[in-house]
Amino acid sequence: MKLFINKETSSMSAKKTRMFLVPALAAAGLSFTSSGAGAFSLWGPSAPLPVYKLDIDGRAFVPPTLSVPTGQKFKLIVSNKNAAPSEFESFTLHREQVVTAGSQTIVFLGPLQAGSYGFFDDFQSGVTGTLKVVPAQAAAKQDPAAAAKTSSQAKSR
Amino acid sequence: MIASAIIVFREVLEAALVVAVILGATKGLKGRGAWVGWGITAGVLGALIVAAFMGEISQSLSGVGQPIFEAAVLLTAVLMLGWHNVWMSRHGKRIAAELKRMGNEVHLGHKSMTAIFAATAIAVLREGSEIVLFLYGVAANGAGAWSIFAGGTLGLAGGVAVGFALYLGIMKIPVRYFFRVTGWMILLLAAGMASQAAAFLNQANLLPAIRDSIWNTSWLLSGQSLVGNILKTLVGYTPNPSAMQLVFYAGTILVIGGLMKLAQE
Repeated sequence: MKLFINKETSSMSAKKTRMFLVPALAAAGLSFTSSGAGAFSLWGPSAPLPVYKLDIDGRAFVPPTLSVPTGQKFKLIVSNKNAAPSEFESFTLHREQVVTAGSQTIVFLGPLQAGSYGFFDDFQSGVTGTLKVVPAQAAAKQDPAAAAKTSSQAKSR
Repeated sequence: MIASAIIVFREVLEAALVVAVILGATKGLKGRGAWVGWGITAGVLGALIVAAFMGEISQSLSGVGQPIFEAAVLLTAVLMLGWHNVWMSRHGKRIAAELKRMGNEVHLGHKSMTAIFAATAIAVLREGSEIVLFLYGVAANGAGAWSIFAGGTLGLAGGVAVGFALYLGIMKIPVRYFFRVTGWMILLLAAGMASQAAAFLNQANLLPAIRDSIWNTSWLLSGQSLVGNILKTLVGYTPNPSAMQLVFYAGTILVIGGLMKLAQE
């Protein structure tokens, strides 16, 4: 038994225990069939999904515009920096997820077709952002974090 | 205050439309008012509990507890509405005949009314928990109690008014077609909920979208508009459905519709 675990590993192990719940749930009757090899996996694909970050800070999404490549599945971590709950919502992305005050949530997205997808904070009217999905070749040479950064810089200029 | 009123209105509207359809579709059943009333009460209580534990719900199941919860709740409502419809296709004719003859209400077992209760409670719980969280946020941002109360009341009144108008419209349908029309309304309501559930399961990374946008009618009717919102609730309108959402939508209609055909006398 480990006596000294740092914060990182302890939170990881907590996450792992929770992960067991889902396969258990699936085994209990909900069976999900995979569509083609590697196209979809129930939990945690072998290659970790790219991660993008989005903050809700005051009355704004930071960055207000996020760029991602087409045809790729990814994880969007939405952090709410405010003292009030928010809801990340988008009609065209079919997403609706509450982010309680001062917490963060994971929104799985993609693979998406090229285009602009608007999203908004359902709990703060007028707070909107855009997800730009660009052809994979254009974004291929940039890593996700850099792509997100450059797009936000381009926007603020 | 106006901003709160608008957000509360939108959420109340969604629940009110569902309740209006359910209340309309149960015309002629004894005690339906009480069952729906208790459904609303249970939904409000459930909304308070869900809102209080939203932090825990969303952090559970590796951070995707909320979409899984939403999907489970929606699919339960689909089952309840399907059950009601199948059951009505067995007894609808008798109820219609009874209504036509003497305007009598028909007394039917508790079991069938439980589905009505549950579907109502779920609709209220889903939208209600968002209202509670939203108003809590408004309060946390330092808005005064009066402003919250006024905004909330205005939004509630507006949403209920639209729901009531829909209910009155439904009640105007001639008895001859009544249960056929309300049967379809419940069926489309259920199909829309199933398609939303598919989106939530995809959001939680449990179900593929197959293909993300099969078509896109945002130019014609945005999901954000009032009409888009109403149609989303009533018939599951989505400007750009994924293939999986269409599968769930069509599958619900085929399965419940098929069972309704089988159940007909």
